[in-house]
Amino acid sequence: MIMKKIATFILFVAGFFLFASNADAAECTATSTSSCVVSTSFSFSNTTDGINGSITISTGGTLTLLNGYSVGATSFLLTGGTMVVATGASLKPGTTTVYMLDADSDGYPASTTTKYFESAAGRRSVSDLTSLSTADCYDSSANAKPGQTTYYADDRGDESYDYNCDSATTKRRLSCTSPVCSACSVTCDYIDASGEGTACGTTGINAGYASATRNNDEYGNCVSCTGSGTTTTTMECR
Amino acid sequence: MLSFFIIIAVAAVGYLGYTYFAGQGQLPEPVRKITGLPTGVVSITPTPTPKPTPRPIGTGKQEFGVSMSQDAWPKMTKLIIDPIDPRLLQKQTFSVEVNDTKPITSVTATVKMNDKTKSVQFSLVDGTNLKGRWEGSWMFSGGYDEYYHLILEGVSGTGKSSFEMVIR
Repeated sequence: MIMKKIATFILFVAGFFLFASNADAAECTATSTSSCVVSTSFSFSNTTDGINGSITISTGGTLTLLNGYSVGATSFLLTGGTMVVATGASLKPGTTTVYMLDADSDGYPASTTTKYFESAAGRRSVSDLTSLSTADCYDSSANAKPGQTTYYADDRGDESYDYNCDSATTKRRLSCTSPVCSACSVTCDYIDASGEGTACGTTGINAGYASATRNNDEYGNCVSCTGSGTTTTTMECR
Repeated sequence: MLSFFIIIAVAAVGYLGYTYFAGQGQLPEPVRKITGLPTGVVSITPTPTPKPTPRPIGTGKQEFGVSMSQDAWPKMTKLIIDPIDPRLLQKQTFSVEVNDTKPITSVTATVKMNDKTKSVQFSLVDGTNLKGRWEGSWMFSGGYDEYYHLILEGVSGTGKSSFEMVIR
């Protein structure tokens, strides 16, 4: 009786871990980086591809590998589905890490379609990247990357100021010509200067007032801010 | 008096409903007519939408090893698609080796393309209905630069098994 209960308990625990581990794995997609499950129909879109983890083909799922394609993973588990592998395709179980080229380590790969199974200078594990589907526009500066919000006064290294990878150059400069008396102090603000002919990185641009004078009422409360003097700024771009 | 307003309201709602559905979701516009082209030169340059390059799928005859789960019957093992990249009206042939412990009654391929689906019935061309090679052909028509799936289904006395390949 006791043995039966122990056996039931062991089966219960084993079943829990089996199903819990499967539940953790997400459906395999083109941007999967860790263990995933193929429960429908799936094929890798890049000729060299893979994940840092195992690929499980479950009931109803089909993993297809065409001729000329190489896919790496720690293991390929066929638990209920189908694997269709072309002559000339390369299945690489035992691959522990899949890499992409990201020489400036900004999280965006130089190419979204090229992966590697070996480590080398400039390559990073796919799981360390911010995006697998958006490529970097300049892989020699960590400041230049898709979605960059910071403006820079110096070019990124190739005479371009397109730091946010939108294929355009957006300018801005400091403006104190209409100072804001926020909390009764003059605050300068950056203005969009995309229409100006002033080149990125140009210094010595007149920005307007250098300072502001706080004017109080008889109770010491701020009643106005007065700008005075002049200051200069630099044309920043991204 | 109240009845009069109710009738008017029902008629108005009915009219709007009719025009809505007749116009496929658009309410009637006050003015919708084209009176003629302008006399000046109007140049309209459509903005082309770049299409992603279709992923490579190989060319010509392609052979595949098929691994099905232990409990899937009938079992399909070796698949040949010849060619995998057919031209319009070129003959495309599928060949698959199938085995089971009970007689296999039918093998079917369904080719799903960009905007077309075609079913191809196979016939036994070699071996027996317990272990043999089944083949089916069709004259290819349809685009497959965006979507190209192949579903293979086998039916036997044991049951039914199928899988769907993503070619593109």
